[in-house]
Amino acid sequence: MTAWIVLGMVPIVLMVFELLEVPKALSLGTLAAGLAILMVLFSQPHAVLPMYEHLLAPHQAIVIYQELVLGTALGLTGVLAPHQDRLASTLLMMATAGGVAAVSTNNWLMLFLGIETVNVGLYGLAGHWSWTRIGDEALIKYFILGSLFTAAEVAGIGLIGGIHGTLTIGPSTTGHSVLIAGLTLMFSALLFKMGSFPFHLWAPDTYEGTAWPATTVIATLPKIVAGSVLIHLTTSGVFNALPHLTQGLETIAVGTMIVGSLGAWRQRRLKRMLAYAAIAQVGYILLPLSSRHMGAASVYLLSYALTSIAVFGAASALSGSANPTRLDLVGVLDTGGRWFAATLIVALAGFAGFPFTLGMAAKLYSIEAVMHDSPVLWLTALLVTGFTFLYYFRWIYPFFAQSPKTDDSTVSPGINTSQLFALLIVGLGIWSYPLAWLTQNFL
Amino acid sequence: MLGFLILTPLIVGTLGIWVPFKKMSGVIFSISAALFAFCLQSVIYPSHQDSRWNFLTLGGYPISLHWQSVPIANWMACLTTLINLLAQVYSAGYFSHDARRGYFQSVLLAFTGAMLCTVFGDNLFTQFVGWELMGVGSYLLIGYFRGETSARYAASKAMLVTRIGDVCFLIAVALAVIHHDNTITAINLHGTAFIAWALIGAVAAKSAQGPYASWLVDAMAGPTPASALIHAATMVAAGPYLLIRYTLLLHHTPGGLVTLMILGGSTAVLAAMGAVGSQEIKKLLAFSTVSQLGMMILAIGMGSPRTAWNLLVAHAFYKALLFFVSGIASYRAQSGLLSRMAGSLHRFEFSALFMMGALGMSGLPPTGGFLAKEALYQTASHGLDTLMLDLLLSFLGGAYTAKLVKALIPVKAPPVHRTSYGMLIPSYIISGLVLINFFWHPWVSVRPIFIEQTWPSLLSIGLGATVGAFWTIPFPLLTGVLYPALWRRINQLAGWTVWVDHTLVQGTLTIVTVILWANRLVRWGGSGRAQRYALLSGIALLAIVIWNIHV
Amino acid sequence: MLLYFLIPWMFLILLPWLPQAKTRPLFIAMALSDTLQAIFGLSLGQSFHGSWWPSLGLNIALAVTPFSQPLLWLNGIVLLSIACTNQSPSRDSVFWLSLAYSGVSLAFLSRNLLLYFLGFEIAVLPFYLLVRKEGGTDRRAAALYFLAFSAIAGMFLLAATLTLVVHHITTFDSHVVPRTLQFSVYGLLLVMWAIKTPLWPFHLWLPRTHGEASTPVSMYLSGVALKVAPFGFLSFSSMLAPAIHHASSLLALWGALTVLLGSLLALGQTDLKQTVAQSSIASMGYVLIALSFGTSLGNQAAILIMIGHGLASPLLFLVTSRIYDLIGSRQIQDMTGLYQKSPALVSWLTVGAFAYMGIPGLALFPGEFGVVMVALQRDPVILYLIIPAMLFMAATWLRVLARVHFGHLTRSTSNVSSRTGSVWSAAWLGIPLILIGIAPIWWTHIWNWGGLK
Repeated sequence: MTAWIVLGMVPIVLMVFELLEVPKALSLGTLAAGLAILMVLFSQPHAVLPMYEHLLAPHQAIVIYQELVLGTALGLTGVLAPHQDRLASTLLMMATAGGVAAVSTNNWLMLFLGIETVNVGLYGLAGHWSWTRIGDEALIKYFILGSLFTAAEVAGIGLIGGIHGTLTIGPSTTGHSVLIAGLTLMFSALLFKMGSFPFHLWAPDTYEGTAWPATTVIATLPKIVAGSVLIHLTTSGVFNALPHLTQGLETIAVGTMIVGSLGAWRQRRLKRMLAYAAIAQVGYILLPLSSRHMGAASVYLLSYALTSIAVFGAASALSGSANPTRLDLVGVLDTGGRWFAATLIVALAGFAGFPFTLGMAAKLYSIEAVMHDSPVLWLTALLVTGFTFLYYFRWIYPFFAQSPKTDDSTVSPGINTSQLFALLIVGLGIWSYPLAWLTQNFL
Repeated sequence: MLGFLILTPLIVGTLGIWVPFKKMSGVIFSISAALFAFCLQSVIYPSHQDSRWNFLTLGGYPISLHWQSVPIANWMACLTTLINLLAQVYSAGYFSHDARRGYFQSVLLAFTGAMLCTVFGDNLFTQFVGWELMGVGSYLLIGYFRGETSARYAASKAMLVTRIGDVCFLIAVALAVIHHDNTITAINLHGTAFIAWALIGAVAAKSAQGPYASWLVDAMAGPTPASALIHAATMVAAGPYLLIRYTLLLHHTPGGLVTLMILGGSTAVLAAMGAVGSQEIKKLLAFSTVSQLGMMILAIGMGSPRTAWNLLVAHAFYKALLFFVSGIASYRAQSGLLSRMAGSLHRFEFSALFMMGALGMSGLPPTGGFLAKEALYQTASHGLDTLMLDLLLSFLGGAYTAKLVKALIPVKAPPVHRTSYGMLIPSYIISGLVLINFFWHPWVSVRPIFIEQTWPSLLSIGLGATVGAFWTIPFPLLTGVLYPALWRRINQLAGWTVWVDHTLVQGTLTIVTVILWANRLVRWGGSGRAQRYALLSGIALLAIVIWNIHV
Repeated sequence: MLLYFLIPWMFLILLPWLPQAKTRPLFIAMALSDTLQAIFGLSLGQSFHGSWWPSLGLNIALAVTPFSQPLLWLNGIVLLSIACTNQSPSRDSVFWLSLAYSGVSLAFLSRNLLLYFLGFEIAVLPFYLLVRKEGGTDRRAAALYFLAFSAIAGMFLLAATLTLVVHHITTFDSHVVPRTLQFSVYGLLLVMWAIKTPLWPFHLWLPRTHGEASTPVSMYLSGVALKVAPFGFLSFSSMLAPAIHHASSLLALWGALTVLLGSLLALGQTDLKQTVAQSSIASMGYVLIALSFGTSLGNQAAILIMIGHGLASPLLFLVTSRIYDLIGSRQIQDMTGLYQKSPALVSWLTVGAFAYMGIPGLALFPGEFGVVMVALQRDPVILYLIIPAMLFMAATWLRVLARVHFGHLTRSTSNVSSRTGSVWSAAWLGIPLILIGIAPIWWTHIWNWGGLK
């Protein structure tokens, strides 16, 4: 119970700090400390009041998702520290609280609330960091499409609740078409949050329009939350009533990969490339779900979280407010920003699945999970993986291109938390014990 | 010991090709002399020597270099090393002012080593190695005059044409290895017909028989001492030698001997006619070599390897002599054309050197050539067709010899250029050997020849000489039209392949285009219009719902 | 054995911190020490096992086999020759080359399927970057070709590997592979081999890459990296024996076709570097013919060709680059009379050319001889393709030699005096080429192939 109370208290404390106009460092410190404490508290076995017990999913793996969401938020706090002020800290914490609630709950309404709280936080952050009209436009697009799917969620929950007579999330087996429609709507809404095909359209524009810090949050937190929920709902049989679930997941996973990688290829701007690349990455989370393989999907989700924080953190530090082209990245390794550049290289290699990165292990997990399925599926998935090399390496190359030395770069020298994540990507790619422990004990 | 005999010239020669050093000539002379001395000693005091060296064991099949001294090999080696020694001395005179003499002599020495490898080789693999190395050596020798286009053409052609035979040989070797036929005896006893045919193919290319004849004629672009060595006792002579060693195999190959007869006979006739029609001294000699090699193969085809051997030995002596002399003559005349040669020899040189060779070439006494030709005549007289063929060959041989003699007849004015002793001494020595060969024959004993039975061939030689002395019309035979055509065809083929490659690249580009279109489609989705996003997402949502409801 | 990996890895970690001036000596030191380690430190039967990702079937299983040992030597020697001949290497090209080196070593030593794949894949990215960065004018397309083909090949390899892994077959030492599985795995691998070996018509990336790549890259790519895929055939052959047996004649025919077309393609080039590159296609075709039957004779012949080609083709690439330095052109027709300018260079070129022509005494001959033996033993029909191919190959190189050996130098655009030191650096590859050609049995004896009495 303590954990939940603290989870509720931290945003309130941050809001109070905002009112009192405490130093920025204090609110940032509180956010980080709060998240760290929450991570410890949620990892301990804890009981809640009996009246709330039916709201929580009786699932052992929940703790992994809670930790994942909190960890992502902590990572974001670290990476975005230079950009964060009191308001941003509050919004981030609110979104995190919503996310933790969404992944832990056993109730459709709670799920809705959690996801929408995440959204509220995100809209706030995107607006807060928006300094241009393009940023506002991106926010509007995000908001409009987000609202569309919020509506879908409401409709879906209504239909499900109407048939089941309860809002408790549980396995479904009957094939009533209204139930199917409701479940499909919920399913689609979650896919939308993850930025998966065919609901990926918002992602590139939103990424490109928003400022780097907001992009970093949008690329990680909602996808982690939605991904966790989708994994845990799909594997616990909630969507079993859908007649084409397996087929649908397979199609969507492969479609997501294909669309994402096709879009990412030959993009001129880094952010748009990353947006499509992130879409392609989501495909690997969905792929193992088609054979209900929770472990593989979760490992990929974890890998995605770590890698995208590193990618966006480093890219954000490298490019400031700009959206660099490949030409802008030439020669960065020779400037003060070399550590960000190195981080970006490692993280992109991790996205690509280069050996000795976490991405490689995660891709192996993901594809091994579907190896018993039809060869068309895994062969397509593998070939798309091969195709992804084209754009990742295309963007890695400029760092090594020959260039006249220019020292007028705007990159601030130094390091931030993204380097830590790069180390984690390599470290977890080589030291297999943590992931093995995780998959054996929880997933 | 045998191993050293073969490896020393090979190693020293190869080193000399790579690292030019000053005293090279001296070293090579002494090694050549030592080689000859050694071979002579092993001929006079025959002792069985055996030298084996594992080259490789592949998948359990042993592949070894194996040399063995048998009488015929000893004699052949003796011949080779002798001609080599003389050619080395001759080249000291021929190249007295050439800075690359050391290089030339090194190649010559290595070439001899390769020949020895084939001569002593006791399995096909060993002989093949020598055979291949001779090919390389001939490439370097023929291409010695690097500035000249003809040398480039001739060297490349020699290498490429003989490679056709080499590939046949390679397959024969591989077949022998996988059948565990690892000695000449084993192959002779139970080698397959395929090996025999492959060997015939290999010999035809290397010894310039049939369609391959023209490379040897073009090879005249090389220096004279090299020609002497190639023609007399190595490379081309290795072909008949090889067939002599594998006579038994050929005997139990159906059709093998007949093929050899047809191949050798027709080549001999055609090449001889080519010789009659040639205008250059070296070309004439080259044609005559092809013709004589054809006779050797004809003799083998008629089932008489001993006759072939006699022809080989006699030919080695007189052809080396003729090359040496023609080198002197063209050096003095500053031309290789027959019409400009008149008077380039002193009377004594003409009678003691040149006429000895000419007599040998046409098959007149007192030379070894006479006996060998008579032996061939006797062998051929078993059938009317072969008899007629032999008489025709004698006729043509007489004709081209007469043509040569006529061109070189001394005139009153003595030659102006002086010739170094380096070129003259080997000529005198070998002239003596041509004479000695009349009385003495290595390895085989010649059947007695009754002088009264020799008249038909002598008559035809005489008739031929009469005709040849006045013949001036060239025969466009064996001019090597096939090779440029083949070369063009090969290049055409290569051009086609490259074209197919370009087409494949275009095909790949088509795939890229398809991916590009898909790429554009995806970008069209991300057009930046929120209305379109909402519409497309809504349609997709609806589609999924409908798809799921309608089972 | 771990030291063998540790040396390049330590070098990779240290390299970014080192000053540019120290790069070359340290590169040479690394290459030398690792080559010595390969030759003296690795002996047959050594192995190392460790658990890494047991749940993925990816574990560390390394072992020295009679077939990997020669290739490891080759790997070291080629790297050493690159280190010694490259006068002013840039730091990141050294880095990428060393990374590729460590990947290739891993692939050669690995007994685990996925570890082999990792090694295979590590060698892809560096080459892409190297070609993309240091190449000719058309290097962008060349790098793209390389990456696209390699990525597809890698993914087919991964597909095959994962198919086996999900059936709990994780090492090359396992013998039980269900028959139905075998054929699908073999089919997947065939695509990989066809692309990476390469077989016609999947060879398109190779000439392009070589045409644009810088000399060290071409040397390493054709010398060693090209051997990773055929080496995989050897490793897989024990577990896929029935499938290999079933498809052998088809694959041999395909290999022979590649030999033929590769030789013709080589003949059709006007650029010396392209000629070398296309000749590689022919040589690799021989390798696949030898491998296709899965006999011990064939396997040994394949290794011998790989070694011979692994020495001859870097040698020729090196010579080509030196010629380019000298006359400013790679066109064969511009090389007329080159012997006047640099006899030593022409000598090395001649050695390489004769090696490709299959002259005894040079390292490609034993292997080609083995291939002819295999063909005669198993499938003589393919000789109809090999025989003309041998002639075309001879024609190709004779055409080159006809230019460099003859005529008078017409072109002397560059005034670079012939640097004897750099000319003799070809000896790093040329001497082993000759030594292996003269006495292959010494080496096969050291590699424990048996046979020396």
